Amino acid sequence: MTEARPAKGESDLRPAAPPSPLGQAVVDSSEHKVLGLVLIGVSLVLFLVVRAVGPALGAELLSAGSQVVGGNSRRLYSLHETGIVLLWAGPVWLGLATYLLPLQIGSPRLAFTRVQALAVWVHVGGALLFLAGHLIDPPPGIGLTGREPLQAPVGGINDGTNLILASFMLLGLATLLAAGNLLTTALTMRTEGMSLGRMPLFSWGVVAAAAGSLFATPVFLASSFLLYLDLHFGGTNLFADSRGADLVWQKGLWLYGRPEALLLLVPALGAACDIVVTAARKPLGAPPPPPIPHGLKAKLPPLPGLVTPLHGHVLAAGALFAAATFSLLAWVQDRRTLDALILPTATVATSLFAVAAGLLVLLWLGTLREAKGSVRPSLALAFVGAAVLLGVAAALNSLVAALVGVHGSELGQGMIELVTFGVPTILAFGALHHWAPKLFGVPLSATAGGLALLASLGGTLALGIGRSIAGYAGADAHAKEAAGDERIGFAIAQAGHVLLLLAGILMALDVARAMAARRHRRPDAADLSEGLTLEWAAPSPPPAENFTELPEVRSEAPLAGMAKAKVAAKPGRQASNRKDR
Amino acid sequence: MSVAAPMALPPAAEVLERTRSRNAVVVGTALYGLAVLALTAALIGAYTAFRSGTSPWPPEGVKKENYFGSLLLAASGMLMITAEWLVWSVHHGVRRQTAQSAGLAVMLLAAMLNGLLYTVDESRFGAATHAYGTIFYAFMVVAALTQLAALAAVVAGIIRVAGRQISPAEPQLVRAVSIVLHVAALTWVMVWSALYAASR
Amino acid sequence: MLSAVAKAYVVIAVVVGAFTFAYIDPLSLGPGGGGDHFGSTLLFTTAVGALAFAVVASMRSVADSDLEQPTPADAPAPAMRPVGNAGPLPGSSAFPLVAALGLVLVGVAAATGAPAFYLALALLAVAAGGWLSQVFVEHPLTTPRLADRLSRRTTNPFTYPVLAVLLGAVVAISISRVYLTITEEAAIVVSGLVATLLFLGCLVLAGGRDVSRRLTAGLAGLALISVVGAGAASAARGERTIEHHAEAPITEVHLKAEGIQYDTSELKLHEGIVRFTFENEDPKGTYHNVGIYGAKEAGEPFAAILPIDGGGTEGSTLIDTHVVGLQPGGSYFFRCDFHPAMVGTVAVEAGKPEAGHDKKVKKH
Repeated sequence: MTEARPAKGESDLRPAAPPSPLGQAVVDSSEHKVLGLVLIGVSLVLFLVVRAVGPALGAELLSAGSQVVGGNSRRLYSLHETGIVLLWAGPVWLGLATYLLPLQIGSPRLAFTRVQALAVWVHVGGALLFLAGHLIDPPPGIGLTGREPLQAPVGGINDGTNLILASFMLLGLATLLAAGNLLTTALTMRTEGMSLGRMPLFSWGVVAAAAGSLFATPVFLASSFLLYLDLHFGGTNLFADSRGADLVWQKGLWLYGRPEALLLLVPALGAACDIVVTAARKPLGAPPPPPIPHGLKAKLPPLPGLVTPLHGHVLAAGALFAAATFSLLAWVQDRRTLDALILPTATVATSLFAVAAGLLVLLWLGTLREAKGSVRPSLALAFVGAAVLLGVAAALNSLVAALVGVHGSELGQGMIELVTFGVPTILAFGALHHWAPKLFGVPLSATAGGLALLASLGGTLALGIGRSIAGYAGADAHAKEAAGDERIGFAIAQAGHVLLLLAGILMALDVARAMAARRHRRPDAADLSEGLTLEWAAPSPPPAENFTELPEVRSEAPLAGMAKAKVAAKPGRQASNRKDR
Repeated sequence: MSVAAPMALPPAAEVLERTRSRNAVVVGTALYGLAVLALTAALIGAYTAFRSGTSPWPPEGVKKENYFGSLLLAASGMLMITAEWLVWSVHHGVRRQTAQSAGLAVMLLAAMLNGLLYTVDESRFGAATHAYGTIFYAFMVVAALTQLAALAAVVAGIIRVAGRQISPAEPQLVRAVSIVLHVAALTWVMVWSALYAASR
Repeated sequence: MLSAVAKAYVVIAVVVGAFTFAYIDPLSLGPGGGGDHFGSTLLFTTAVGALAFAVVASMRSVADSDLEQPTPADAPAPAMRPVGNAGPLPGSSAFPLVAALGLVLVGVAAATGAPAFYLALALLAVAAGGWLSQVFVEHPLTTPRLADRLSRRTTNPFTYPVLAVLLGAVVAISISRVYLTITEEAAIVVSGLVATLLFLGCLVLAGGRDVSRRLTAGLAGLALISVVGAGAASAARGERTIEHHAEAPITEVHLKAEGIQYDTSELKLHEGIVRFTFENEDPKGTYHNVGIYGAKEAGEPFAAILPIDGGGTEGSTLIDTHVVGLQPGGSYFFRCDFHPAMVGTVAVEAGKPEAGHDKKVKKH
């Protein structure tokens, strides 16, 4: 059902939309907000499914001799570790970006709304095939995350492996379609006055990650296709012990040799920047420039446009961009880095990423310190703090590993839990809380959120540190049984699994309640004192065309100084000083 | 389907919005096209990886002819020129030349697809016979998909030109069509350079 | 000039490019060399892509317009302006879902095989066509009248025939399943019943002037459901046993030519399928053929083996006597068209041959 088109010559505002914000049906919707919510909801459900496997695997490890999962352990490992990235961490940020990017840049829609619908449904279908493939037949090997490539199944490829390979291609296609769409939207549909330099930092993170995905995802697609061609027609060329096949596996398919593992962090870091900015109620502050004597200043030539003005916003955008680019340098990664800590090019590449992330953290701390008195504490800020804690824990862990020297490959898994899985998860929870008024029209429950924060922080730390301890004791990744000192580590990790599952359940229930409430709410007028960026100027939740009124954008904080202004919830009505209800 | 009356101009805000969204089509198509070229480059990377680790290369039993490859290369060049001709003709409103260039593009794409089928038929090895076979078939499938996409784009373009939705007043969509054509041509050029030019 | 973003991309291209060349092993670019070729290719592509992004970021539609002027610190806060009419938002559409279904079916076909793949292709074609037509209709230049005219001229000519063919196929397949299940006698009864019902139904529709549309639709729907249901039930029940006539064995007949004569003057063919083999043992340059003639119009042979050169070459043909018209008891002869003196008689025997029986009458 198409919306009523205004007749030619009518230049007035379109008539008021009906009260139900969910408007069109979900399955044939081409509205970016509905699609974003679909992705977020699906991702949360899949998070629960994938994380539920963890305790079962942990129990198998700890119980000597008894078979909790038995012969299914390899496929459950594959499901668990590949699924976290492909079914949760990637898509939830895609969903948040789909919903929030047009709001942040002041656009009424995405550039290609129906392409986004295609991407969402292809993703849902691909996720179903992924699960089906893992459940139908035992797929060979540990999948994309392991140290060995998918092993050629004895007796030829089975249905499960066919479905999994097909699902990789579908999930990659969905990511590619969505990334191109988001990038195009950000490049061409910004509102008047919003230059790229004034774009909010979450949008910057999304742009940077989308640009990186545009290069990284085709490599994954190409390698999946090669693997499929090889396996499906009966060959074993990609498993032969030739150098060529090994390289193709490492660069194209191995999840931790691919840039995606780090690219996931970039929109998360961008969201964290926005959370800090909103809490501090000022743009990201830069460290004060060194004082230059006045006479000297006049003699210096003006600095090129890229360098000035050196204020925090541009620095942060640059850091996000650099992070995305350095994630692409993961292609110099070698799987030997799981054992050896120092390999020149690989270490330099990943350290560059860490430097960019560290710069962002410094900017956040600086901003909060400068804002001091007027910081508005929020649960989302606590989530950001938790993410920083995880980063610090990861850094300390690498230091300890460098000092200790010898360790099993489970240590690498521990680091991955902390950084690749943990940070995007916690920041996603934080982002859901932070933007809940715009996503759902109602804030998420603070109690549930606080509990989820503690559970997810504790769970991630337990998982990360637990698996690292097991690694220091000599455990190898994806072992089937734990012996001796490893058991302590795995026991801690088991507690972590349970805690994370708990956090997921809390968040999922809360979000489900909020989505149900969204269907029936009348939109609230925007409260311009809530934040500095454009999405806070939209009603809660936004109507079909996103905005009823917009300010002229003159800086990276368009709503600064506008706390007293009010916005009408319905178009066509004058803004009044009384809050519209 | 000829519209005799002059086009009624839509209100100004709508024009700006449509211009911006048409530019979005061009930018978006360019970005997706870049992704496709990156995919081909990844396959080329895999090709060089296999080549560096296997000898002899190409393996025994692979014919060393490059007749069809060169034919397709020539067709790719012609396709790129035709794409630019198409854009020119729409910009200048010469509908007859639009029809000619679009028709030529369709013929060229059909010829390229036919040539791909021949190349695969003449190859005498399967996708899993050896590593060369796997990457060869991957190249062929990717090239065929880009050409099919280009075909669909040209047909859609023809329909929209006939419906006066692409015209000298709003020519941006044809630029998007030309980008798809260029991507299809460039993909084959990249495949050719790996398979035929750098085969030893 | 390059915008700030384009400059950033150029810097990134330079950084990644430098990394590429540091990483690449310059001595090993050829086959058999060391170094990570895949990684180098990917890095190189990234550097090139960053440059491409720089170009895109410099495009007019992307570049910043006005906007780097710093605002004076004492400027008043900007006012909220109503958002202008930004044009119609794209309406809802089921075609992305259909296209996604097609793509997922392609994935499923990886496991289940070809039929799912073809169904997926059909879905994708439907989605592509529908999506294009929806975008076309939603363009501001398309009036409802134009849209109606277009649909009447483009989609309706295809939709209705395709639907009719599909309907016909469904009905035919269902009825054939029914026939395969019931006995031969019951099939006659069913045919008569279906014919009668059809006749009566058409009588009703043609006769009454006030037959309502709902009645027509209801009757047609009922008929369709019962036909399809019967077909499904029969398919579930399975085929009845059908007698197959034993396949007639293929008899072999050999003929040889040597010294400008055949090795036999009498060919005996059995009714049914005969494989007729002919060998030319004369030296090279001496062509022979075999043609079976009789009372056929215009002097055309009933069957022939094409001319073959000497030197031991062989030719053969497969003859079905029923198809070519060779009847038992008729009088036929065979001859070589190059050497009229080479002739012989052909006799066609009725009935089934014994297995392995090879009819050959040798001269002397």
